[in-house]
Amino acid sequence: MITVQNANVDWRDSLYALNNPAGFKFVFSKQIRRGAPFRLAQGGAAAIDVQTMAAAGNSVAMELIGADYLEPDAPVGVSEKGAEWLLLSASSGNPVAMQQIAERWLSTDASRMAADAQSLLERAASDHYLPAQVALAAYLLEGPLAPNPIRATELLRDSAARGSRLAHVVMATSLITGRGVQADHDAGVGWLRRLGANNARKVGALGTFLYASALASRFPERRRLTRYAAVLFEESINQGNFDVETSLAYLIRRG
Amino acid sequence: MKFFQKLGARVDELWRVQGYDEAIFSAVALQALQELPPDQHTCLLDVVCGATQASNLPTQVDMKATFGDPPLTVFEGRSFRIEVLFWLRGVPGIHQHAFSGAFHVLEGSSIHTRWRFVPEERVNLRLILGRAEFTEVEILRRGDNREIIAGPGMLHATYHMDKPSLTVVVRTIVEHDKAPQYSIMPPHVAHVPSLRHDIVVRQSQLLQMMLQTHPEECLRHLRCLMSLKDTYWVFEVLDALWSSIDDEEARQQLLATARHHHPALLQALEPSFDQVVRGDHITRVRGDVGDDSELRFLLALLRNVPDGDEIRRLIALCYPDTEVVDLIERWVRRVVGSGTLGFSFHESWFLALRYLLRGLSAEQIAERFASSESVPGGPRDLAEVEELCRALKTSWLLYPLFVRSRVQVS
Repeated sequence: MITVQNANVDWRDSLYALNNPAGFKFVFSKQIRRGAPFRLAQGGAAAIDVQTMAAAGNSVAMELIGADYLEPDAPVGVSEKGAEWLLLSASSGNPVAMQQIAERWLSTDASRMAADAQSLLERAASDHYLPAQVALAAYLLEGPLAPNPIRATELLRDSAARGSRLAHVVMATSLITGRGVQADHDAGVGWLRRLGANNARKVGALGTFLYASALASRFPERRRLTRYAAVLFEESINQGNFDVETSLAYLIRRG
Repeated sequence: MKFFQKLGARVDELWRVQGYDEAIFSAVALQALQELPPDQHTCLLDVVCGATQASNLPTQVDMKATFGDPPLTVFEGRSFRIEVLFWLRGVPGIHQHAFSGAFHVLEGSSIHTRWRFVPEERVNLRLILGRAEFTEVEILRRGDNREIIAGPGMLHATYHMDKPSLTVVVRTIVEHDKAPQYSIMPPHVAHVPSLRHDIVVRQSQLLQMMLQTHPEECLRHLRCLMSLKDTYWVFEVLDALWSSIDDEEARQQLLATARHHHPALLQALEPSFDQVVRGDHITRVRGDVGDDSELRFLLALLRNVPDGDEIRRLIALCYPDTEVVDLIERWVRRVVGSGTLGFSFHESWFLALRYLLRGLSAEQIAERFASSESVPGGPRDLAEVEELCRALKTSWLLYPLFVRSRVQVS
């Protein structure tokens, strides 16, 4: 956990904590392991009979099965089935499934499915599902959706105001690297400062938090988070914290 | 303890001539407390020493001490009893009563807020969605008496500022036609903690255990259950588990599932959860600032009074010789300086706070920052000043200073 106790030198320092009582807990939670080993094919290790529920049309069960089928360690040939389950779940109005199938399309078949993916992300975001709103903004900035930096920035600002830490990170890394927007290093660092990462060490800690989150995330979200972590490690090094060089090297070696 | 025998006898005498009618018991209790003010006849040590020396006591209730730290029954009469409630850390929420009577502040002081609840959607007897409206606030001090009206006519909260605070309650046992006793989670939820369904409570406990031992499975399981179970079940389980779920994405997924299957509940519950979290956080900060009575007063106001004008009125009442905005700014500086928030304020935040409290607009504040009062590292243009002002006005700590939520009741 990062707790800023020293006097702030920039008005943006810790602004996130002013609106979020939990403050900057860069705690990697073990409550959700999005990269959990493939389980359903191993005889239904899930605690609840999701297969039966999914067959009966339960949208959450369909999403859980779909997501499990899409895990990298799932048996060969089941990924299409996973996509079908996710699509069914999304069609019944489940915003979590909408985001998952949209991100899947954008990572594997963007040229053909971009419009449908954007439509699903838009719908999930309009259902107040914040992760979908942040993902939509990220794809509008970074591709493969048609670039729309103005709308992306609006979405990210709104998400940040509603408490999304990831929205802060996407804003920061885009502005620092110039990916999707005009580069503005000071503005980018300002978004890190808002999160309490107002010196080299804390920027590195935030990068480590993101990298740990990436390792526990599902593909393709994992790829996005890893990229943000790499930007933060570089920024931390540029600010003088060479302790994170090893983390960055490890991240690069793992691809 | 002899005093309470005398008080009880007087209550019985007054009520007997009224035919023991519950409908007028609050007036009877108030009259007895005014005739025999407990603060002029007894004190904490009298009560505690008397009760602990006694070889026998009236029948004691609420043995888990859920309302009082602890509650002590000091007299049992015909269909009424007298209690002394000790408060060390107790923070009773907004509630109504299935009994009538009156209470008297024996020691300490408290912020007494009154509310009303406008029901909009009944889920079942135990859960109603609607609109909680703040109507009145006062500071109660030693010797003050207030009536307790049974039923929905009186919805109130007493936040005890001193440690200890003691109240004497003269009350009927229970008035079944005024049950159940709703508690309010502002701004939108009314529920009955005392009527929690045993099966749901036990299922919540099992899920809490599972969250500790198998968190990922628990969250998957819970999302499936939320798509199958009834709205009341989802409320009780989320209420029990919410503070234990710390993963941002897990929370978002739970909310998305609950919102999809129980949209009306979630529309009401999300802002109510936000209020619970901020209330708990301010209570923690208030505990951490120690014995600084001024800061404890400010934090009690920020936690309990959702109206800036009323907060200013109460501060002016208690500190008539000091300018209120100066006082608030000075106190906020001390809270921040105490390190209990976990983050610091940039100097420009204090300045912006002062100007906002004086009613300046973001444009006017930006002009001041651009001229003589610029602060190193402060906001550089109107957009940045607007962002800072918005953050201050919606801050979990300070937002009550900027809202006008009091509803006038005729």
